[in-house]
Amino acid sequence: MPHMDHAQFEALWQNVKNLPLVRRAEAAPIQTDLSLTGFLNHYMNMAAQQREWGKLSQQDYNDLEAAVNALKTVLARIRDGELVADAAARNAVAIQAKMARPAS
Amino acid sequence: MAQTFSIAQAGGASATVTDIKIDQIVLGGVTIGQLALEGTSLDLNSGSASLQSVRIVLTLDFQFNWWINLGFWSDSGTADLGSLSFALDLGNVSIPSLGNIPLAIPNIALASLNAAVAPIQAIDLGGGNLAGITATSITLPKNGFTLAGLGFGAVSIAGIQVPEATVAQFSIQEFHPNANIVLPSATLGPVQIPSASAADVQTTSPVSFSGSASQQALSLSLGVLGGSINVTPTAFVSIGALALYGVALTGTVTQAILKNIGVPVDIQGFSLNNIDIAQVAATNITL
Repeated sequence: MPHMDHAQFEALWQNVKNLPLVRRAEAAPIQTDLSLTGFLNHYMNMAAQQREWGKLSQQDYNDLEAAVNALKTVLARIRDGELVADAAARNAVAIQAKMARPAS
Repeated sequence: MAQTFSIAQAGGASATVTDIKIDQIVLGGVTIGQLALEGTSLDLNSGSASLQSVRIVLTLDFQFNWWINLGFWSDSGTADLGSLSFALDLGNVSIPSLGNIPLAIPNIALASLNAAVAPIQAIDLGGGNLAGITATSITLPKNGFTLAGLGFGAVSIAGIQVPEATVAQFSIQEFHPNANIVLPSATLGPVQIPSASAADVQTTSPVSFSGSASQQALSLSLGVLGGSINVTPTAFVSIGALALYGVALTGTVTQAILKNIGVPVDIQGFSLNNIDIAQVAATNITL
C-alpha cells in the first residue's frame, strides 16, 4: 500500500481535481513468428518430442520432416514472412476501423 | 441480712485501663467530603463526529494477463494497462455515533459521595486512657465487697466483684485508645462521573492516509486464447479536520483518595478490665 503524506496528496489532488489522470499502458508488443514457416518449425519441434516419447515412429517422423522441408523451400522462395506481415498490417487497419465505429 | 451502701455521686479525674475489648463497631453511612481520583482511564462513547473537507483520489491500476495455446505452440504474459485516477470531493461528512475512544485523565475531584462500610468486629485496642469519669446513684451490696490498697489521695482497685450493683449513670468524657482503629475496606457504590461540559474537540492539522483494496479480476477464455483483466483500486484520503461533539464518558479509576470522611459509630459489647482510677472523689456515701 503506498504511503502518502499531506503534501503529496495535495500535489496529486491538483493533477486530478479537474480531469482524470491517465497513465498509459507500458506493455511491450508480443514478439512471435506468425508465418507458415514459423508454424512449421513449432510443429516439427512438437513431432520430435512425440517421437522421443514413442508416440511417433522414426519412419513417420522422417517422412514428415521431408515433406515439411520441401514446403519450407517453397515458402522461403515466396518470402512467406513478408506475406503474413503484410496481411497482418492490412488486418490491423481493418480492425481499427471496425473498433472506431459505434456499435449498431 | 445483706447491707448496702449508696454513693450519690462519684468522680475520677483520670483512669487507666489495661485491656479494652469491643465486640462490634457498626459504622453508619459514610459521608465523603471529597473524592480525588488518580490514574483515571476513560472511554469516550456515543459522541458524534464531523469530518471536514474530505477529499478522495481513487486510482484504478489495470493489468492484463494473457495466454494462447495452439497445441504445437503456446505462450503467455502480463501487460501493464496503465491506471486511471480521478477525484472525489465529499465535503463535510457527519458521523452519527462513535465507538469507544480511550482517554487518560490525570486527576478528577468529586464531591458529596456516600459509601457503605462493613462492620468492624473483634476489636482489641490493647488499653487506653479515660478521663472525666463520672458515676452517679451507685448502690453496692456490703457483703462480698472488698477494697484493697486504699490510701490517702488515691484508690487502686485491682479487682471489683460487685453482684447486683446498680449504676444510674456512667459517663466518660474522653477516651483515647492506645491502638489505632483499622477501618475495613470500603466499597464505593457506582460512581456516576458527571457529564463533561468540555468544548468540542477538533484536530489542528489535516490527516492524509491511503488504502488499497484486494485485486479484482475479469477472466475470459476463447479456447485457444484468453486472459484476465485485473483491477487494483487504491484510495488516497485527506481529511481537513476531525471534530467531536456530544461527548459522553465512562471509565475506571486506579486510585481513589477519600477526604473529610464522616462515619457514625455504634459501639457494641464494650468491656473494660483491670481499671485503675486515681483520685476518686465520692460524696454522700450511705451505709
